[in-house]
Amino acid sequence: MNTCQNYEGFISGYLEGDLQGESLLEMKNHISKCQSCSQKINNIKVLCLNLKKLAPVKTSSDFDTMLRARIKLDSKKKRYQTNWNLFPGNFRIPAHGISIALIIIAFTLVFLKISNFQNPTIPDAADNAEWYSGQPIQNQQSPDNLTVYSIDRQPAIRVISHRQNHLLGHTERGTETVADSTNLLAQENRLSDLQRNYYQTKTY
Amino acid sequence: MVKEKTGNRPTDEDLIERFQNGDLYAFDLIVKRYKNQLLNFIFRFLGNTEEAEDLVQETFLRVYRNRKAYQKVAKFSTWIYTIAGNLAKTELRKRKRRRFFSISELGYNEKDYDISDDAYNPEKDVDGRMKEAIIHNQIMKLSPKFRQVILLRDVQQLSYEEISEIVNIPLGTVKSRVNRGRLKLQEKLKFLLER
Repeated sequence: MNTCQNYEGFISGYLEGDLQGESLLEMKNHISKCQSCSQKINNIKVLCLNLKKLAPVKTSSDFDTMLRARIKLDSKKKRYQTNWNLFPGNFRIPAHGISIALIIIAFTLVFLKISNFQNPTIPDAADNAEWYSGQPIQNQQSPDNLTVYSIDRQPAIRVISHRQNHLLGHTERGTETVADSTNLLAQENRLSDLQRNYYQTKTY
Repeated sequence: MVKEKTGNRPTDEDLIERFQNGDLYAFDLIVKRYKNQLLNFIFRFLGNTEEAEDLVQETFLRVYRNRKAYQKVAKFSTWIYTIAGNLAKTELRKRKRRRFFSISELGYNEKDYDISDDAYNPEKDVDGRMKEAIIHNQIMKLSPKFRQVILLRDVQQLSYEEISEIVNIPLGTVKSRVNRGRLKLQEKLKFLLER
């Protein structure tokens, strides 16, 4: 490292009056001998003057209005955020997670409910009757392929088909609870008559 | 609303204290006092007036929002310049990232190159505006760490102690950076300064 580079580090200190004692004397001594360093010091002096005199830039005329509007907007935003801040600080992230999970569960349940309503699963008649009675079912085929279930003349839940239901004059389809065996027999007889009539009027 | 007494200028610290106690007029006075100073600092740092003005507004917005965070142990000017400086540096980083992506999207021949200083003819007569533009251009070419201290010291005329607090580096490092920054600028602007 040459001597000039050593002195370069002290130029600002020298110009700003920070150098004192021996350092100052050494610097002065070097400048008096070194044309290059002397020129550098002069240049930096001029540079500092130029930097100080750089034309100031001024804010636009609507600066204050814009700033006020920005502050107002920010305050509104902050107020909105605080109103909805149910879970402060560290609880915010887990709470948001839980909320999202609950929403997903709720939507799933609603969706399942809707799809169930639109496509109701009609239980298989035999399975249903068997399940209700706990006994094996004898399946009898009627002439027009309508199924009638009876459970060994025991009072039970009788599952009847849509068509049978219509013939019996019921408005609802599905199951019908039969109070006793007499009733069951009476109804089955009635159903057979109705089927016969239906057959006669329809086919023959 | 408390009106500012003429002849008895309240200090920045008084104003922020009044503002902390709910006096909005004090905030207006702070804005009036600092808006141009900050604009000059950020403009010389970023080189774009519109962006600079936007960042000055953002600085005041942060002062407004975090008024309670200011404590009287530090000078108000140091606090506000720190906010502005950090915003400017963040913007510079964002810009670098943007430039990186935009350049990488360009074809080989489309890259926008800086016009070399060699193209400038020192013999040409330069008026005041031209001279300023050249100085500004050279300031912009300094690396941000030198640019920031040069602007704070030689343009904003802040003390080394204040700069040390704003930039959050030791006093000795500030002095050394200012000195090196000046030497770099002097080297680039030799043709202009030796006239």
